[in-house]
Amino acid sequence: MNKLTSTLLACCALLTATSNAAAVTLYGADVSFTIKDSDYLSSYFGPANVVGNSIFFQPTDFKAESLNGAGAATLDQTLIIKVQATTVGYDMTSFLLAEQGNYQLTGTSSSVIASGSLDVVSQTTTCGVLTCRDGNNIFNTTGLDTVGSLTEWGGVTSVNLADTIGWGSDTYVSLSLTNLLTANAPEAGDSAMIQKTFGAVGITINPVPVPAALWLFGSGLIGIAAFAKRKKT
Amino acid sequence: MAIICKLREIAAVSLFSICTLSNASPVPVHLVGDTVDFYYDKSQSGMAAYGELFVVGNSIFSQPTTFSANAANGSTESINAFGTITIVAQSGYSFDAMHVAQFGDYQLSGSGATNNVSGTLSVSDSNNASTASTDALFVTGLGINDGQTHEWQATAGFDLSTAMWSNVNSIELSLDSLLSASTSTTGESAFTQSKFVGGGMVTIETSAVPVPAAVWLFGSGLLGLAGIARRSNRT
Repeated sequence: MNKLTSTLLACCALLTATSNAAAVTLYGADVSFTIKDSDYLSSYFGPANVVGNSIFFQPTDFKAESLNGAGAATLDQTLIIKVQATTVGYDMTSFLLAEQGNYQLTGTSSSVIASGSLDVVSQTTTCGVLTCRDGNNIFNTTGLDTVGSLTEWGGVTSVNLADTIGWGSDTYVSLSLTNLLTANAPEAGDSAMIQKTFGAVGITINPVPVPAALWLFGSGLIGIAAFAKRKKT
Repeated sequence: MAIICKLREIAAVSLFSICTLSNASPVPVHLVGDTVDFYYDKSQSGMAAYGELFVVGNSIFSQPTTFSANAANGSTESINAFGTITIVAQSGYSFDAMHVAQFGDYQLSGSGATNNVSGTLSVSDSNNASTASTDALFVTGLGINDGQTHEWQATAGFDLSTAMWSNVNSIELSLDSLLSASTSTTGESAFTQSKFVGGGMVTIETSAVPVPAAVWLFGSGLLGLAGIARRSNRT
């Protein structure tokens, strides 16, 4: 009987374990970042680190490569990061994505391009019928045409919640970060390689403004208190 | 001792039934909105590509991470996602309209590289499948072929304030979407991805109309006047 109970318990534990994907939460100065375990450990994003209110990644294997007329090779990955304000009275207002990497080309017809896009989706607020969202924040690298030597690339895009009507600031959002790397070596003797070696998301956090009504109410209360005191004496 | 054993037996049997129950027909996920409730079966086969659903206000949404079609060097790829959710209006509310939006990125490189996004949104009465309507996703933003990443958008929706929906307070909503990417020769690449899928319900209140503040003000004013009138009568 004991054995049966423990087996059944194990069976139930297994069922609940598989239905809830484990996640890692990292704490910054005023915000926390939550990432699924599988992404946190993936070589595409690498273990994440947090400094102040920004999170950064140093991927070890985020690369697109093509050789000798193999044609186009692409690599895309999407990462979800849940960001929550942890300091009471402070809201998130803007987000900056900055990425870096390097590339190498040989031959005359080889080419590479890197692009990144950052979506911010509210976990608390609706804008019209749907949840508040700021998308179409895309960077595309240009002029990656140095042949021969290993050369750096960089890309930046930003999101300001004030650009979305009815939003402005938030305490809890979900970021969707996509990278697409493309390397193309259409002819024999060509080679093309591009990789991402660094990515960071920085959060701007600001005090929530106190509404005018609260000032009026507060000063009114003080006035009443003063009046009551005076009446007593 | 015998009692303890008996208890254990009962516990074991009930545990067993919980396990078999969750294996056979999983309990639907229930997400609570402001004036509607959302229910769905997580194990639907076409649902995986959409990913986990969240609710904010009366809006349900997901941020897919693996809903993408990738083709290169003459190949073609397509990916399909399909899911049904049940939406129930809370008591005192009825459906007025619903909107769905989908957003994603794409990149085309080479003259033979093409891509497409299509989909169908269907809605039906949970208690009477013959009360139904469908709408095709209206897709914009596709077609720029310059080797760079761009955004596409897709929308669909229904007016649920019409007579045929008048007594319906539970609906089945299905979204079937297809992404494709195609290339014709070596050196070309095509990429299409969905990054956001969301639906929002608009409801109207059907319970007793709340008394506006103006009526309270007017009423208390009247009472005041009556009081004054009574007082002046007495003197």
